[in-house]
Amino acid sequence: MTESDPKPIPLPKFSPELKQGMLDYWKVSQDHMEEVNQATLKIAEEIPEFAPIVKAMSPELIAKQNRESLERNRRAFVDGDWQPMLTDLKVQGEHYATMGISFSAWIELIRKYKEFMRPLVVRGMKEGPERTIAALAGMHEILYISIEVIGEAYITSKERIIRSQEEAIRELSTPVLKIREGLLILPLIGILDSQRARRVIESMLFAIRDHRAKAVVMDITGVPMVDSKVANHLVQSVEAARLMGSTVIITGLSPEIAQTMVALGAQLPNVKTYGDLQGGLEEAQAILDLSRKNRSMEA
Amino acid sequence: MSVSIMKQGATLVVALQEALADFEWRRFQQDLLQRARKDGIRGVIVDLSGMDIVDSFASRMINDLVRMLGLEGSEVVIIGIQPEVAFAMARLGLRLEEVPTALDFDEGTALLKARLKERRNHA
Repeated sequence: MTESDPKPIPLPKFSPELKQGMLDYWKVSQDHMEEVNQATLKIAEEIPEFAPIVKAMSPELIAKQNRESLERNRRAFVDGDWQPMLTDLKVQGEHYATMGISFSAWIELIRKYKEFMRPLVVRGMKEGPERTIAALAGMHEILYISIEVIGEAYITSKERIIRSQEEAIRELSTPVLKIREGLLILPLIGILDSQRARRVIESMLFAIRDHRAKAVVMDITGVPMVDSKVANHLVQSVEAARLMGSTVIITGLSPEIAQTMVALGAQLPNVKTYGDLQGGLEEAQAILDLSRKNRSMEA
Repeated sequence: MSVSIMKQGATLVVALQEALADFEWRRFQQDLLQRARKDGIRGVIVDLSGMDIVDSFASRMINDLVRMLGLEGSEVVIIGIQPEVAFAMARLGLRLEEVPTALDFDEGTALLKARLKERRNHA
């Protein structure tokens, strides 16, 4: 289960009439507790997304949950301490959201519950039409608050999922592969915006240091668009690598990319480029050979 | 000012630890040029691995130093520029265009030897 926020969930201020209405609604539902619990269970079973969950629960577990929720509701409507109930709703919302239960299933559950409860409240209230209307309004308010909290929890946990996926994509999208001693390959796929370019260049430079790479082949076959901005990023990466003593060779400049680059006036000054990966690898190998030769001469 | 200069055969190894102030640079430049001359130095390795920032002033000084040493007949190789520093320099457009670079001391000495040999062959 996802961790829930310790800070209290905000609650609107209720008028005395509404408070009385909530209390009346709660009393009616208490008077018909068995009936309400049974009906709620049945409603949940009728909603395809909830059915398997309800069916998987043992009667003891259901009874325990009902007892606990009774206490939480009592504290909210009688004592005015809403936090335990709201926190429980929030935790449930986050839990069901990560399970993949859709939010519309909740809306349906609450709508059906409301349809069941409305006649019960009308029949149960004997203090005149005004109190009856207030009790219905109280019920609506409670359900409205519930759906609000659940909805908020859904959004938060979905956002959390999106964030972690974004991170995963980010990491996947900038792999630096070592193919032999001193030689790295950096296949780039997707649009290279400034933020991503910076990440790519950074991870490349750290990989150069960590692997003591003499040459890096950067393959841009998967980059759909190379304008002057992207070209500028590429030039920066080449220059930064050179300052560290490593050579970057850019490969995968397709005929289309070459055409658009020239048409746009985007340039790659002082950069070794090749149409295919093979050419780049051969050039990189030549650099490695030269470096080896230099070193052996020293010995 | 924290610069260490070590001599190894006909090679000087210079380690710059932090950014130098204007006047310190000038003095360091002069010291180094005189020392190279006096000791008959042919190659200089400048280690920048201790520098966590290289601004436009420092990069111009390095460029100048390489040119001056070149006029004295020495080859210079820069080693140890850190990834963060390299990236920052590239973004500022500081290229050290005429300066040969190497990853570390090993590569640096090899590169220096190769360049000295090349220079002799050209002569």
